[in-house]
Order: sequence, then C-alpha cells, then structure tokens
Amino acid sequence: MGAFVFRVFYRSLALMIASAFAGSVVIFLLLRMVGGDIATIMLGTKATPESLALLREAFGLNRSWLEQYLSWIGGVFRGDLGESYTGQYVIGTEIAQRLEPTLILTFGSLLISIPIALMVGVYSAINFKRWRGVSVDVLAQVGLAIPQFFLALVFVIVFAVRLGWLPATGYVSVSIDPLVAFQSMVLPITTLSLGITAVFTRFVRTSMIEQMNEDYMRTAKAKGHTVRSAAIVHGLRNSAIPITTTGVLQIGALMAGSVVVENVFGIPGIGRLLLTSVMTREAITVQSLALVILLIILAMNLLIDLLYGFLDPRIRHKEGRK
Amino acid sequence: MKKSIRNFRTQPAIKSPQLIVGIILTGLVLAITLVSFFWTPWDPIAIDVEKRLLTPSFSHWFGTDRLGRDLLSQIMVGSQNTLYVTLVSTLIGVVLGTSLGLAAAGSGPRWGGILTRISDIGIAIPSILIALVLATTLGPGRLSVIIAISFWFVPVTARVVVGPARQILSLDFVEAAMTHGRTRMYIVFRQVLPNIAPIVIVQTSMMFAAGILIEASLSFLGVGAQPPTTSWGKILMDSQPLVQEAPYYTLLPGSFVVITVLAFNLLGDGLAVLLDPQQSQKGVA
Amino acid sequence: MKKSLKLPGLIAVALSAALVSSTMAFAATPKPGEVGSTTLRASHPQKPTSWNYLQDGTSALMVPTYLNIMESLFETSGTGVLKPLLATGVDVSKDGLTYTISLRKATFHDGSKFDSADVVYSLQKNKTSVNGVINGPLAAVKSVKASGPSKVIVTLSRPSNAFRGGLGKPTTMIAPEGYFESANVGKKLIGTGPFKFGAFRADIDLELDAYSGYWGTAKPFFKKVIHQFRSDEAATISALKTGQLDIVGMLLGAGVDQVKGFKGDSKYQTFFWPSTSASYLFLNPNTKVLQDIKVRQAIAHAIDRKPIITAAVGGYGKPSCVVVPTWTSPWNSTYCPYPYNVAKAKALLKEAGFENGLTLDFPYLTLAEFPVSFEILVAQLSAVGITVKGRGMDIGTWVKEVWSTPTPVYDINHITNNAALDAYGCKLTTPPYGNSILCDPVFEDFISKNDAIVDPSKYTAAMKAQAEYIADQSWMIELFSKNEPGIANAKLTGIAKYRTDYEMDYRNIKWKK
Repeated sequence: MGAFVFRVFYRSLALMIASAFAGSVVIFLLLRMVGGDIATIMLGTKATPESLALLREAFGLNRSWLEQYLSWIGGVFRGDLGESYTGQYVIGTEIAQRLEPTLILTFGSLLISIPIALMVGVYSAINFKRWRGVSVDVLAQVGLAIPQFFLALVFVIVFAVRLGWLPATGYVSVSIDPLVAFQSMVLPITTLSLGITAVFTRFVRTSMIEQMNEDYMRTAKAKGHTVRSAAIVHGLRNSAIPITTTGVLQIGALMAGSVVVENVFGIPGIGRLLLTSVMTREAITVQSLALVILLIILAMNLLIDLLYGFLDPRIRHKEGRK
Repeated sequence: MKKSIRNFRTQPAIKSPQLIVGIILTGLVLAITLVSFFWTPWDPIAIDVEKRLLTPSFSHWFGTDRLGRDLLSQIMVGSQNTLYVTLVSTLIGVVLGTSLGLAAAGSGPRWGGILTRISDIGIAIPSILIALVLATTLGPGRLSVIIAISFWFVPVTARVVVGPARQILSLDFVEAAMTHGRTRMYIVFRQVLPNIAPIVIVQTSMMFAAGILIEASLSFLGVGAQPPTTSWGKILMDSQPLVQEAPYYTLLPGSFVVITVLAFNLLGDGLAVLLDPQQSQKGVA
Repeated sequence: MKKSLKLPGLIAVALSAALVSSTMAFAATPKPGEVGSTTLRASHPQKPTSWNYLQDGTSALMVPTYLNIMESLFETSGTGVLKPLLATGVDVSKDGLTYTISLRKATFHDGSKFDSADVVYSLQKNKTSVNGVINGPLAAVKSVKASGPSKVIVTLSRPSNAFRGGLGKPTTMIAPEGYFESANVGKKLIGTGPFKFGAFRADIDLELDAYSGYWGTAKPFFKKVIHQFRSDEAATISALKTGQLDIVGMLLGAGVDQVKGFKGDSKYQTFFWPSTSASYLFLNPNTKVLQDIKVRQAIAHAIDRKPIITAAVGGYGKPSCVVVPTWTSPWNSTYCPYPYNVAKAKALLKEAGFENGLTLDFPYLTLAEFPVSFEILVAQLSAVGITVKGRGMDIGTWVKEVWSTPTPVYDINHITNNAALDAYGCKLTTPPYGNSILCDPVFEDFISKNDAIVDPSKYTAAMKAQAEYIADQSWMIELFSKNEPGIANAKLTGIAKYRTDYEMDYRNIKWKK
C-alpha cells in the first residue's frame, strides 16, 4: 500500500506543480493585459511622468514580461515578494503573519465539514424514504443556498449582538491567547463550513443511496449485517469518493469564502489583505497574494487526492493483491 | 466505471416536489424582476431621510433603508442587476463550455486529456479570486464580475459535458452516421447536442444559482455593480453596520437571496430527476 | 505496583501545584479591560498610509502620534491658551515679529538630547509639509536661529496670528536633527513624548510603549497603548461591548447611529467632542462649466443640509454656510448667501445656459460618512437637473488623485477637513494641492493681510469677511460643523474633554479609583 500511495502522491504533486505554474502565468497575464499599465493603475491617472518612472524602476516594470515573471517566481522561491508600494510592509512577512488565521479558518472548516457531512449524509441516505431523512436533505438544500456573508451577518446578529456569547470581530494569535483565539474563530469557522458541509452532505447522500442498491450491499445484508453497519463498513468508503471529486470545486469556494468571512469578522488574514490591496490598487501585492491563495487551494486539493487514494477500496484491493 | 443505469427515483418525476417548488419559486422571482421594470411599491431612489430605518409596516412591507428608501422596491430593482449579470455569464459559460467540452470529447485521447486538465485547473481557481484580480486593473464593476464568473463557468460546463459527449460519440448510431459521410456539424447538432441537452440544462440551472451567489458576494465586498446601480450585495453591505439597530435590513434582503438561489437549485434538481435520472445520481456542483 | 506509582504521583502533584499557582498568578495580574490593567486598547476609524508627516497630510497619521509620541513646543488647552510642553515659555516682541522661545531639557526616544538645533531643523522641515496644519502657520517665518542650546529665536516677515496659534499645534512638532534623512523616516517616529513608537502592523494597529526617559513628572499610567485601526465602526462597537476594546476613539460614519444606545448604560461613558472640522463640498477650479459663478451658486442652492446631517453623521452636526474652525470661533456667523432653494437653483442653471442639465464627475470616498452623503447629494443635485457620475475610491487613491496633486481629477467632491481656511492659501505650498489650487487673488490677499492684524477685534472682523467671501464664491460650500462622538469604558478617567481632529491624547488616561 505504501508504494502505491507514493505513486499517487507523486503524480498529484506533479499535477499540483504544473497547475501552480499555469495559475501563476494566468495571474501574471491578467494583471498586465487587462486595464492598462500597472504603474498608472497604482498611481492614478494624474500621476506625473516622473513618479510613474520612479515606480516602474522600483518594481522593475520596465523589463520584459518574461524577465518580470521569472524574477517574481524566483522571488517566490526565495521568500522575497517585495515591498508594498507605500513601503509600509514587506509583502512576504505580511503574508507569513496572516497565514495563521487564514489556515486555521480554512483547514478548520474543511476538517469539520468532512466528518459531519459523512455522518449526516449517511443518516439521510439510510432514511431517505422517511421524513427524518428527507428533512435533513431539505436542510442541506437550504444550506447550499445561503451566501456566506449573509450567514456571517446572521450569526453576528444572533450570537454576538443579541446573546453576546461570542465576539463579533477580531482575532488574537493562538500564541498570544489561545482561548480568545478559539472564541473568535468559532463563528467564522462555523460560517465557512456550513456551506461546504451542505454540499458534501448531498453528495454523500446520493452516493450512499446508490451504494445501497449495489449487489455487494445486498450480500452484506443477506449475511446478516444490519443496513447500518453495512453502510458504515462498505458504503462509507465509496461515498467518500464523491467528496474528493467535488472537493476540487469546494476548496476554491473555501478560499473564496474566506475572503468574505475574514472581511465580515474582521480577521486579519490573507483574504482581508487581498481585499484591501484590491481596493487600494496595489497590483504587485495582489499578484503575490493571488498566487499564495492558489497554492493553498492546490495544497488542499493534494490532500484530498491523497485521501481519495487512501479510501478507494478498489485501489486498495488492487494493492492488496500485490 | 459503469454504474447501473437503473434510476433511483422514489416517486414519478411529475410528482417530484423539487421540480414543482423550483418552478414556482423561480417563476416568482422572474415575475418580480419583470414587474420591477414597470412598477415598484415606492420609487426605489426616492430618498426621505426623515423616514430612514423604519421597521416593516403596512406601507413599507420590508421597511426602509438607511436613506429612507423603500427596501422592497430596492430589492426588486436589485434583482434586475443580479439576473442580468448571471444570465450573461451563464450564457457565455454554457456556450463556450459546451463547445470546449465537445471539442475535447471529439478530439482523441491526447488533446482531450489536455483540454480536460486545463479545465481542471480552471475549475480550481475560484471566481471571486479572478474577480478581485480583475478589479485591481479593470476596476470594480459588472464587467469584472461577468468575466470572472464566465471564466469559471466555461471549464465547469466543459467538464460536465466531456464525459457524456464522449459516451455518445462512441455509440453505434454515431459511428453509422460517420461512415455514411455525415458532416461533423450534423453529428454535433443532430446527434450529440440533443442527447447531452438534458445535462446541459440541469447544469445551467445549477450554475445560475452559483452565479447569483458569486455576484451577491462580490457586490457585498464592493467589487461588483457600482452605485447608482442597485444590487443585492450592495444593500447587504449597507446594512452591515446597522445590523444591531435594524436587523430586518439584513435579514429580509438576505433571505430573498437565499430563496432565489434555492429556487434555481431546486429547479436544477427537479430537472435532473425529470430529464436524466442517471446523471442525477452523479450530481453537479 | 505501588512503588511505581509514587514517582508519577509526585510529579502529578508538583505539576498541579505549578499549574494552580501560575493560574493564580495569571489571574492576579489584571488583564486588559480590567481595572488596573496597564494595557489600554483604543481604536480610531482611520489608518495612516504613511508615517512621514511631511509627505502625508492625513490626520490618521497625527491621531495616535501627536502629543503621545511627538511633542510640539506648546500645547493648546480647551480654552485656546498655550501651555508649555517642549518649550518653557515664549517672549513676543511688541511688533509681533520676534519670538524668543525657551526650551526645556528632554531626551528623544533614540537617546539623543533635545536642544535648539532640533527645533531649528524641525521648523525648517515642517515648512515643507503638505499638511496645512503643519506648514500653514509657518508661512510668515523668515528665520529660525538657535541662541545657545536652550533658546530659539524665530523672526517673522510680518506679524502672524497663525504662527502664534501654531506654537501649540503640530506645526511645531519636534523631531531629532537629521531624522528625515535617516532610515527611520516613514517607518518609525522618534519624538520626545511619553510614549515610544512601538510595533506597527499596517492595517491593524500601532503599539505605544511608555517611555521611561520622559521629561515630564506626570508619567502616563498605561505602559502600553494598542491603538487599533478599525474602519468597520459597527464591528468596533461590538468589540467594545464584548470587552475587546476600552475606548472607541471616534465614530465618523456608520457607528454614529449607535451612540445613543450607550447613553443610559452605566458601563460606558459617551463623548461628543466639538470638532475643528468642517464638512464641505468643493469644486474643481479647472473644470470649465464650474467657472461660471451661476453654476456654483445653483449647486449651493440645491443642497439641503439637514438630511445629510441626519443620515450621514447621525444628527451630530450643526448646519452652516461658512467654513469656520470651531463652534465657538469668534468669527462664526449664520451668514448664508445661497440657502436651500430648488427653484432658484434651476433658474440659475437656466440662466447659465444649462437648462438641459449638466454632468459632474464625483469620485467619492468609500469610508466614514461619505458613501451616505454621496447618495443624498446625488439625489439632491439630480433634482435640479445635475447628473452626477460617481466612482467610489479608497482614501489612498483619493488622496493621490483628488487631493495631493495640482491637477486633480474630479468636478465635485466632499470632505471633512480642517476648517482653518488659511491652510488653503496657494502660496503656501509648491505646487498647490487640495483647495489651494484655487489661487483666488482676493482670498490670498485676505490671508496675507489678516494674519498680520494685531488688534483682536479688527482681526475677528477681517476673518469674518474672509469666511463670508469664501461662502459668496461658492467654490467651497460648507455643509456642517461636526461633533465627533466617542464611547469608552465608564471606569476610565482622564479622557480629554476637548480635542482637535488630529489628536487622541493617551497621556492622562487612567482607571478610576
């Protein structure tokens, strides 16, 4: 099994690296091909030619696109992403500082959503003919339709304003005060994970319903296992597969959602920095930030791919016969 | 991975509750949007500061916003923007995506594989990210949003179309058509498209729902439609600081968004059950 | 079995004892928010885009730093009297042309000694600042000379009321000699104040650390002040309620509505600082259609101030048609040449040849009260036939494109800013920026003459005439004079009752006994 997992890992890793490069090219080109010259974007249409020239020098915008791209990517590997235009912060350091809350938020949401989706999806599948199964599915449907920012605002109304149980905004690093950090993450993680959980739940459910009709399940039932244990033993692994296939889409949604959630809950993470950089037309910061976000998405996809390789019983069986 | 073709509906399609509810709700939303072009309860741009932040009442069903404008009228007009952006993006996405998917399906394993991989990468990049990058250079506004949403819709549609299209292309009657010398266009339009149409229709409905969510989020962040164009996201952005003072200002427009998205999702689900039971098991994002 | 339990058992007891005692120790020191804590957490809605006050004129830079980190020669009390700060006293010659300033002993945060050379250096540098509050009052300064290490002699080219007032303002902020050529410029401020410039996280907060070498006998109570930049005012108020903040230093826009909810609450105290800011519309002198005074008068007639005050600043403002520094300014008046009158506005536009309306470009600020006022202004202008093309802008871009450039891109705009008109003289800065690009000769004449008037009643009359002239010209259309509300933990005391919009005084704040 070990050798096989490595093979899956390397293949996925290669794909991830290829996607990362492709994505970086897309980001790089988008910023240069659309909307005009970067210096004018950053300094405004009324900037003097001298200040434009200075900016171009400072950010190396006079070099050919290929040179700029290579220099940027080289910097990424070295960890040097340059300074913000106002010179107030070093982009690399700022991103590193903000990674903690964003990663806690996104990974936390992902980790919570998977087990919940499995449990709820299976439950809803087993009971798909009864009211309790149907109502759970309806709930998932509604959960899918709620925009994250709206959910965030509703949570703020209920839990922060009306009940005062949890803080509405703000974040303190785990290293400074873990209790406050945890408290301030409860609402954001719940908000972010709800949508993802709803999607996963529905996929688990449909997959489970299919499984329940498959021959091997009937055999298991005939052997005397209850539907429930059969579901857990055999159906679960197969049901997890649709999570991996849809996971690709959901990870992107997670990162996109983190931009919104960080904004509403005032969490100083990567998503919030992206938004402020966009608003202040800091094209260079946006470039690196977009790449970092893309890398996080791809890394999470890699994780899911591994999970897929781990869980797919047919692949494991193949391995077993080796 | 040949799954059993047997469907797993629990009841006949006509009685599918999702379809019925979906049709009713989407019909309602579209009706409200159409009506808004001709009539709204109050003038949506009439500012009356003395009447700001009134709670819902008989005269103002949804209350008033921070400048005293009728909230229901604002929401009705806002739906015009939402549907416009989503419609355009979905059209672009479906047309280009289907073409891409067909191209991938028809072009042999190597090119098909490459196109599929490219689609995968495109799917991984979320629209909001693209929209934010575009907003940096193009500036915020509907154009950035439409480009960003289409950017994502195209590979998503392509991906959904590719598998079934390939399946159909390998079927006997298609091969027969090819040996009989039918042109590619004929095969595509008369044989492939009609058979993947159900999938595409379901996909369109789902993407429409997703598009509404993305547009609302972008407008909420301030990157979408700019004032004076009214948008749902902007109404919710304005309501955010007043969340304690006037919770209805957030809850009512937000619920409207939820119901609209739900409507299109249910429609898609219902259509899936009706048109293509096999596909409905795989589900779409 | 029992033997092997003994050692683990001992370890368990030791660990729990350590845990208990450290918890108790931890619990004993007051945590931020509790009475006695030495950390103060305050917020302000604006964040600075730079720490270089020569190049950046926004008040966001001054608010956490003026008086806390950087000190001026004097400070101004609530009644307008100069109180000694870095200077111990000043002698003014009878003709008002020579100021002899005596300096005290102090040390900068970097350890260097404060002396007259630093004053000479700083005043020369401050004259080049783009911030009108800093450079404006120095307009009449002819020379600054050191007379020994603790005396400075400033010679003016003419008497100047503004310079006298500027002694107690950021105009005379003192930085160490050579500071603006050092590596710290723009990144860290070095001053003589009771707090040092501590950790700065762009977008998030600035920490002020108590400076043990401060010259004053009254050292601040708080060892650390965390000055947070929180533009989301509703979120800020929530943070106050959940104990994450001790002071909400100012509410500019969206949060203002919530202040009345705190008035009856004994856990909090509310403030309504009369501000030195005027909220006004300003028109671009380079826009051709606006060069006809009838058009400008029409715009003024189209404005109804009350709804803007109600909706944008929660009613905490006083309508006015003249731009004056404070509500208690001696030259304040109810003079209003173009009151709200839609019919008159339309008639004037017709006379000017714009019966079919005209279009104006309005890049508005997307923070504080401006989005709300923008929407109301759009509606009011459209009611008289003027179409407004709006585009939202963040403050950084706005400063670049609308304010700090001699060739700005806008037709009409709205800002709340320092109401001291003298700061807008076009000879004061090269090139002119902001409202200085107007370069109205009559106004410039007022500026150069008024400031030198020595007789107080003549000075007041002249300043009144100046303000009324500006109102008549209608390039700057005053809307209202603002109150700025703030909320704080009721257990705090020592919060200044009077403040300007470029300061947030942390020096005297402490817990009530």
